[in-house]
Amino acid sequence: MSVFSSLIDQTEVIKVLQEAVMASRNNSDTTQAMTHAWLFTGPPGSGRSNAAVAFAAALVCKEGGCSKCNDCMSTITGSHADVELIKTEGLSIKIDEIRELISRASWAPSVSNWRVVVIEDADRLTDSAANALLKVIEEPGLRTVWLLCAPTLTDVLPTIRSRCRHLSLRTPSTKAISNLLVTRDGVDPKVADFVARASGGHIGRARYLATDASAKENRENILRLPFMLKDIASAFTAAQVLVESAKKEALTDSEKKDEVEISKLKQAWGSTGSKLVAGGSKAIKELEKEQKSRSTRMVRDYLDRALLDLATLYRDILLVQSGSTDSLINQDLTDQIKKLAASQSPEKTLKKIEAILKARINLAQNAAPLLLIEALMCELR
Amino acid sequence: MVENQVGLVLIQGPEALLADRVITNVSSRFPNAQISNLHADELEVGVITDSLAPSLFGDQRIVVIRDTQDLTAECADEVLAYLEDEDSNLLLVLWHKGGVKGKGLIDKVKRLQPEVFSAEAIKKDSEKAEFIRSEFKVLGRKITTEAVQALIDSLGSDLRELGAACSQLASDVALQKTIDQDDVAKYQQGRVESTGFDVADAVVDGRTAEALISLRNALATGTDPVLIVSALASSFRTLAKVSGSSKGLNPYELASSLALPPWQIEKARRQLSGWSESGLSKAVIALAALDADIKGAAADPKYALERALMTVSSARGTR
Repeated sequence: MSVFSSLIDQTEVIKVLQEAVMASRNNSDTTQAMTHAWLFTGPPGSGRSNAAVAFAAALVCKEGGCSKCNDCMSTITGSHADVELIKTEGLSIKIDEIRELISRASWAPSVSNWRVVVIEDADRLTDSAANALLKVIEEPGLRTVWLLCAPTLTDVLPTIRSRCRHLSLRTPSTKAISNLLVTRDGVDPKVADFVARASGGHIGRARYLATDASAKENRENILRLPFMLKDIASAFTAAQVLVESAKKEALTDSEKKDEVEISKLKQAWGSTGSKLVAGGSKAIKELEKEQKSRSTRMVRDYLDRALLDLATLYRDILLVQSGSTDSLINQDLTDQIKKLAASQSPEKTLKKIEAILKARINLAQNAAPLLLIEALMCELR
Repeated sequence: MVENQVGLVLIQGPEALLADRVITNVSSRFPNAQISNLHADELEVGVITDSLAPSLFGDQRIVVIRDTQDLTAECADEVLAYLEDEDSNLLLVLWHKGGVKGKGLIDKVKRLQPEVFSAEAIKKDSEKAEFIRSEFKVLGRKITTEAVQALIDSLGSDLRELGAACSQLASDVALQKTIDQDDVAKYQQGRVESTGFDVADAVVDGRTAEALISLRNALATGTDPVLIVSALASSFRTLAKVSGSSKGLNPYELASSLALPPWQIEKARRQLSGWSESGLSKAVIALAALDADIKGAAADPKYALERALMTVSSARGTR
């Protein structure tokens, strides 16, 4: 059992990483299998950050990634002294955070052979933050390794890209995902097969769909929307339903979290009541700002998932229109999909898929959510 | 009860021009006083106590605390501690912009019977007209009703600008002459304030040329493109919602199910006459593209706005 066994359907990547780990342990190595900066790309849910963390564990582990020793375990839980995990729940990683990181990153490792910095959301670095990284990524400390993760190569600046060795993870196959769910999580094989298709190769999402009843219900509600689009008023109602459920979801998730965080911070500034040490109220205001950015992101992420679900529906419709019914993703809706497929032309279906994908791009660029979804529903009508 | 009505002034309301006038006014009672201006949101603990502490030579001083509603609890306590033991050489001016924040402090201050001034926001056109007339009265000038309206149209959103324009007119127009529309036009010509909603109304009614003029006016007087788009979006949202309801239904009954006030439903019904389903849908799709454009997808947001207005306008009447 090695740390890499948590990566699903990524044999080529694992091979490269294992060779790198071997080379890193050999001081007279000439293969150049190991280098100081890596960029992991792969679609969401393919496990790029897992791959980076597993690689980090293998580098700091004395056995090269046994998955059982203290080094491996603490890396995976994010508490290893020489491994730093940078991720954000907000909208972006800012330059201040990176500047602080840079000085720490050049320290020598304290308990292991390597100091590893993993940036899980390199695509969320602001331009200035990414620029601040250029120098240290090009020539890091003697025993420092940078591991960056992003969905695609174009999500990071070309100047960052050119300084890293690139590893691309592929979308895990439906079969591999359903196998994993059956063996690891004890999901019923039939359900596992269905969620593996519905998740579009996103391991975490597949597991969530299989184990969480409300996630399944949400998905069904979203997929029902295209069937209720009749006149323009219904399109606007559908948009309102979708955006409101996104907001509700984000709110219930974040409200409890926000409150706990605030009360903890207040405690840290010396009070549980009203009086804080000087500077305390400023710190709280900053936290509130972060929380707001987090909840904006949660709404966006929810809508993005909804758009993906909708895209799978139109993919199925297009499939039926071109005469195949074998590999439908939304098999639970086969009858309705056939009906909708018969009522319109494939050209229109393609246009609708394009509209959904365009909406996803705009969503990431700060579009007003309600207007965006309203326009999309008009196009899907 | 503390017997000191000279040393404590309370200003209530958000209107900065009026509050500033009160502050200037009360300050002029003590021409030699040293004035300290404090902003509540920048205050550290201790600054207030420092400013309110007695002066070594017993100089006359004025301390103004702006945005009293934003005082932290600690700083408010400092003010209260001072009020227990007031300094007869000190005039304390508290400006509270309103709302429930910091109300505790204000209630306690009120018990000490301060001089209270109101600086309520002036929102309605009739109040603005009243303000303009009183300005000219103070300046000893006469002004026609049309000129008052012209002033409101061009500068109505900012009371400070309005006040400045009044004093400029009063000092520039020949003495004894009643100030009329032409005088106002001479100084404010071409400046018309318009909002996103003016633009939206013109577009929905199919008055393309007016919509473009309103758009230019709105942008020139500082309206953010994002606000214009959201006004347009909300107008079309109303149209779309109302389009789905039967025309026979009473707007008062529809109001709750559509979550719209009855007058908006009636207005939307009138406006809908020029719009078909596909026209509305084209318009909304164009607006979403515009939203992306002004958030960075287009090089020039102003041009994107104009182009989108044309597209939306031409969607009206499509079958």
